[in-house]
Amino acid sequence: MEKKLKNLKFNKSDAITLGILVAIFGFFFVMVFTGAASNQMKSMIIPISYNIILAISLNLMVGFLGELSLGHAAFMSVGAYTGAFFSVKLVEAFPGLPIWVYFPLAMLVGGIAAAIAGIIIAIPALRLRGDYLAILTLAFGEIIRNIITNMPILGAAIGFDTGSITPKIAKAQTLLPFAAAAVLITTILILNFVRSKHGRAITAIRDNRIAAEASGINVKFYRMSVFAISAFFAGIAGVMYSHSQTLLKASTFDYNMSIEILVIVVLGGMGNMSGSVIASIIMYMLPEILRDFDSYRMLIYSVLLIGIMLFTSAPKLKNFREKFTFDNIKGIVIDRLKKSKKGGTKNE
Amino acid sequence: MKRILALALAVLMLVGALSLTACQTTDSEGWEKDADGNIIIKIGGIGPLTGDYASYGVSVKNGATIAVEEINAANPIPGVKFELLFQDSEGDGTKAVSAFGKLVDDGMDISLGGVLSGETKEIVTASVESGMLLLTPTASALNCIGEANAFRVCFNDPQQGEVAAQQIKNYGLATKIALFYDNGSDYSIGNINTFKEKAAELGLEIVTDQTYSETSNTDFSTQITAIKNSGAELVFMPIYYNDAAKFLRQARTAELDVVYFGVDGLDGVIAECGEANKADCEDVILMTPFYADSEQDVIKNFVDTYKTAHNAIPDQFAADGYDAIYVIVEALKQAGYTTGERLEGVTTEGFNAALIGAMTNITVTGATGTMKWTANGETSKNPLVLQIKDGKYVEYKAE
Repeated sequence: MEKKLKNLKFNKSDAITLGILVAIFGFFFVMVFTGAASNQMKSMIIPISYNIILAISLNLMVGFLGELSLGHAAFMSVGAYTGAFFSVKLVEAFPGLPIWVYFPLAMLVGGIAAAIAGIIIAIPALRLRGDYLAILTLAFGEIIRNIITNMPILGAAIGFDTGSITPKIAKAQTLLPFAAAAVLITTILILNFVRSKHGRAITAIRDNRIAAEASGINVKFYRMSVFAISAFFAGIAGVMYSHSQTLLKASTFDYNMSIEILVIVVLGGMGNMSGSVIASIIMYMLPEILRDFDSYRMLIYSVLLIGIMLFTSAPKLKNFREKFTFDNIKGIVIDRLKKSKKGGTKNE
Repeated sequence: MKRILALALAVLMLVGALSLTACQTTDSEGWEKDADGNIIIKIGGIGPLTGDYASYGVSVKNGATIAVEEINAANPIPGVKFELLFQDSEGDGTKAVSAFGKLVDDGMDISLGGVLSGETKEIVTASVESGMLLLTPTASALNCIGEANAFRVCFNDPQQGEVAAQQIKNYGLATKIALFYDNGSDYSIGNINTFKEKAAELGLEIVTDQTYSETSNTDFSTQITAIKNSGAELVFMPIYYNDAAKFLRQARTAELDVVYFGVDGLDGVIAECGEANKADCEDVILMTPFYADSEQDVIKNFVDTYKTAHNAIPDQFAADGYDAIYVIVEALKQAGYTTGERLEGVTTEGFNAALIGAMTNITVTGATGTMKWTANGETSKNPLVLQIKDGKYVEYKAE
């Protein structure tokens, strides 16, 4: 056990990511269970949780493997439908089954189904790179969506009714512990994967494929495994989605949704896990906080997004901000303190 | 470091969310009142105001706003004023639930549910906890209501499909029928399923089943050829007006000579075809409980007010939104809340229960016809069978 724990590999930035997550979910727990949370806030907790999982799992693909994927919503939908179908059938067979039995099981089932979908798409995807791969994943997403739309067993266009597996009363209180556990476990596993030998192999493939191949890294194997892992966690996010909704509609999981997830990853910074976490929160909360602005809401939201994007990524602003980093300020303050101390002794 | 700034931003947002909590008021402290001491009843609507389905949400919002203004001017319940709060759902179920939470935080007393079926189902589930009356103007999918507190103003889709088959039989319009619909739309599928059943029962023959999807809704030539070759006498098209206008344009060009029969989604097709292609929608038959050219007083008043306020002709959605507000007023009266004083001291639970109980005992004549409700939330009203003649609706008469 101890050895296993030692095998977990983290660095400082990972600790910050986990720290942020613990702080956020701690805050959610306090708010929800003391009853201080507003109804609007309670409704945001689960979406924020699955958005975090979606973003960090896509970040693994985009930020670390360096492959642009526009099919993340499809993996999510595979997980959502499989998990929901599994739970609905299970609850049908054993009425009154508590949620803590079927929800974690459904997450596993949904995740595995999505991972299989990931492997299937990886087979043709291995032959492509860059923009071509992006288009392939986009097409894959559309295929999945069309298949689901035409499957009567999954409700076709009418939608799949998940009313029997979604808590109607005290939804946030019931689902929050699962969501927190899922987010933390996902983050720990993905961070650990990224910092391991395998993670280094993946970044090596991203930085220079030929050099990586020449160093004996099995490029095909690693690309395929990233597809599978990324899809697995997207599937888990999908299961969380389907267990917090009462109606699943295939049309929800279109390429717009994939692009939204990609926007979160880009906004947070590719390869930056804590950025993904924060961006998921901002992207979901911002339009909600702006609800009081009524019809100007989407306008303000878009302008703010442009502002945030410029602020975080425009080179000039970046340079400007770098003058004010924590370490710099600390340095300046220490310098000043030293000087004033010297000055002080002189005056004495 | 970027991370620290980002962290600071995140903290700011959480504080923002916290401050949101701080300003919520509860009903337990009594009713909110305006400067004149009138009780304000807050009606909360949710619908897509941005995105692909924005036109539906905006119509409902406009229709309901007009009704609220009219009622506040007419003052049918002395001492009570109404306020409409409307939140954007972007057509998404998750966002709709957040919008519902926001409205509850803002002190909503009665909910208008959602505009689209999918979002309404999520809102209905979310509303169970609060138990407030929920009256959706336009969510028509069968499964989207189904809790004790949920009702709707419109027809449900299966009902409509069944009536359509019955009317085709009654008027002797055709015996060989082609179906044309969007197989990715719950609206189309809901209609089609019961239409098929009823048609089989009535001995109507379905000769071809042609579908399209929202990603392939520009070129319908294959479907039109198939319908032509099938020897159909009538095309049943439970689709929305925008796709219908495109279909009609192409079908007319291909000289597909059949009877075109649609349901309430087709309302708006005249404007969509436009003056230039007016001939496209000539003779099209549709079933709808509302049409803007009606001579009825209630409809005329509504259409005139709507035209002055929004410089547009109201559609079905606007009429449903308009009616929903009047239904709520009627339910309040039926529940015994005929003056503001009678609302004093009423608990939230008592208020909700009284309103929900009143819903099954009222009869309201609005812009979309005369309505009554069953305990499962469904309404019954008679749709009109209309035909488009020279760019106007006229009631259909069998030749």
